[in-house]
Amino acid sequence: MEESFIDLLLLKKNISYAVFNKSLNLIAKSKNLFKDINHSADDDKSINNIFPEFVGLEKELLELLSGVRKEYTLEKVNKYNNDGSIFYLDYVAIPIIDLESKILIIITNSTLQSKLEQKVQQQDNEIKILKESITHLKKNTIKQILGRSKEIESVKSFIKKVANIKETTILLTGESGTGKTFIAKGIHNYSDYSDTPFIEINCAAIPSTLIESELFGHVKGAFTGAVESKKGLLEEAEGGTLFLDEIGELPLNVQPKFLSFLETKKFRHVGTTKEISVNTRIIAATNKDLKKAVMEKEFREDLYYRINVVSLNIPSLRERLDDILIIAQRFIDTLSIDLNKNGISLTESAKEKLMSYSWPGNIRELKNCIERAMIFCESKIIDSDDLLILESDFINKNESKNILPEDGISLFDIERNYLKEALKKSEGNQTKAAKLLDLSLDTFRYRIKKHNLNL
Amino acid sequence: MENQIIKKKICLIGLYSVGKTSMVRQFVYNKFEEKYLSTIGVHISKKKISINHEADKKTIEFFIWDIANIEKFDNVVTNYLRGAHGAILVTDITRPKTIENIKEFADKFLEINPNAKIIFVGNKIDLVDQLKFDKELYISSVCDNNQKLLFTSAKTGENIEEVFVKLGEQIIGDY
Repeated sequence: MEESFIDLLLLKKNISYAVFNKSLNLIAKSKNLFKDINHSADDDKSINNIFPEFVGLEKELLELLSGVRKEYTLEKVNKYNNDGSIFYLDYVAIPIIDLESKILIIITNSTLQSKLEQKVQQQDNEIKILKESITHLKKNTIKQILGRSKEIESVKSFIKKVANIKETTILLTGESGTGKTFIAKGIHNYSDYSDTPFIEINCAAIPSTLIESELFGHVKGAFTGAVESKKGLLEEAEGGTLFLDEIGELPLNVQPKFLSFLETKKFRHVGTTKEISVNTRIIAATNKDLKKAVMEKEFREDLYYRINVVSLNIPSLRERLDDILIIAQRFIDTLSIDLNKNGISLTESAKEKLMSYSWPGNIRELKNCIERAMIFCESKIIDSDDLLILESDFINKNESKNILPEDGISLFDIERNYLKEALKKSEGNQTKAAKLLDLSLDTFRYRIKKHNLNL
Repeated sequence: MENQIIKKKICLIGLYSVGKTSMVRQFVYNKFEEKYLSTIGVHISKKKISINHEADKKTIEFFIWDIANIEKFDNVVTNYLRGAHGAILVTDITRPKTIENIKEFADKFLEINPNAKIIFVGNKIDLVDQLKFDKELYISSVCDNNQKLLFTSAKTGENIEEVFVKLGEQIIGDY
């Protein structure tokens, strides 16, 4: 009667027990022991047969029998039911020092809490694995910069040198399409704080009236439409990097506030006097001649010197001809997957064509050219005819283009024609037209006026 | 002479998701499961193998302890490792992080079981381009000169049996 009461109690509490004598053979057990541990009963009553968990623990078991060891525990031992489902057991082995020493093993079923723990652990591990792969990818940044030319090697070496210098603003210059954003990300990713935010803003893409609020944030009611307070990008990038692309387009009225931030690392939200301090690294980039912009009073001289402490001019593609085929091949490899076209290769004449072009649009243009060729090529070979490149921009032709005719030319007319052409191409948009001619808007307007061109 | 079955406890140790459970599953059941299911605690499997020993064949019954990711060497982990005759220290060759603590794991294991044998494993060999993968460099960054490392794939089964046989040979060598 008493025994069944204990068995019922143990059953309710998910507990079983087993008692082993000095020879480590089973001498007593709870009614449900074998069922609870999913053991098929046989004649072998040895501890190693019933509890394979104790194989190898002869020394520990002897220490228990002699009373030297007070207990031996095993937690969360995974077991399988006959239907393949998992259950978890905890074991505590303790000595019973009596006339004859024995070992009592108490087994508790901990499936409920262990399964919960497993779920948490599973998610935790999956997050850790994802983080590991992100870190691994980021550290591979340098490898992702393609090319072996000495020009690109010096870019890689620049990234390594400046990646962890956080206090100094970095200025990246170079033609459009040379990969300034990619290099800025590379600097961030190669640094020790690569898991912090990298936030990008294109100063030319945001209306001048909004850029101050974008950068510094604003408080509710700071201006019409400021219906709620908003953090600025400088704050969003706290601890990491804010990349200002086309810094040359930063409006003149915002430049002093930005300069002040660079000097003090402090700023105020638009509409408040409260100062905020952030630890954000600034990387700026431009394809504009900032010195010229300073002379033309479009860019503050003090800001220019402040952002130009450490600068890198990213070489154009035509300055690193040796890298063109390497980069083209990488684009082919990558696009092969996206376009599901494997085994595509370039013919010798296609390679020659790629090498002899001046690539005014740089890597971006090369990528577009390869992508177009891969989409339209009908075989697995890209020939020179598949590469649609403007004939006028071939390097050799460029040279002959600049030969002055014997009877001379009118520079005035050339300028006038180009101004007209730019306006036509940009459909009357002066900002775009000015950009096409690499002129500031003011200079462009001055020249329009000079040529008396009606808009 | 009757072929005596020698029971030996061995442990698989290594960071999470290096493929410890998959190695055991491949070795014991010739199966591979793509889905990652993290182990908590310990799972014990059994398998017998024959080992050549001094012109004789010996049968080892391995009690294989597949131990969950070790965060710290506390009493729970120490008790898992106690009484082991050998350990397979598993790394994932695609994840550099998995070799960071592997020597420490080996040292701690040998501290608990001074006479035990160990073998290192670089798992997931199926995931790398074997022509480009620098095996020698990997081995030198994981083990010391006198230690063994085998490259395995729990997915394809490559070298899985060999790892257990090699460890068995080392353990049986003391007999």
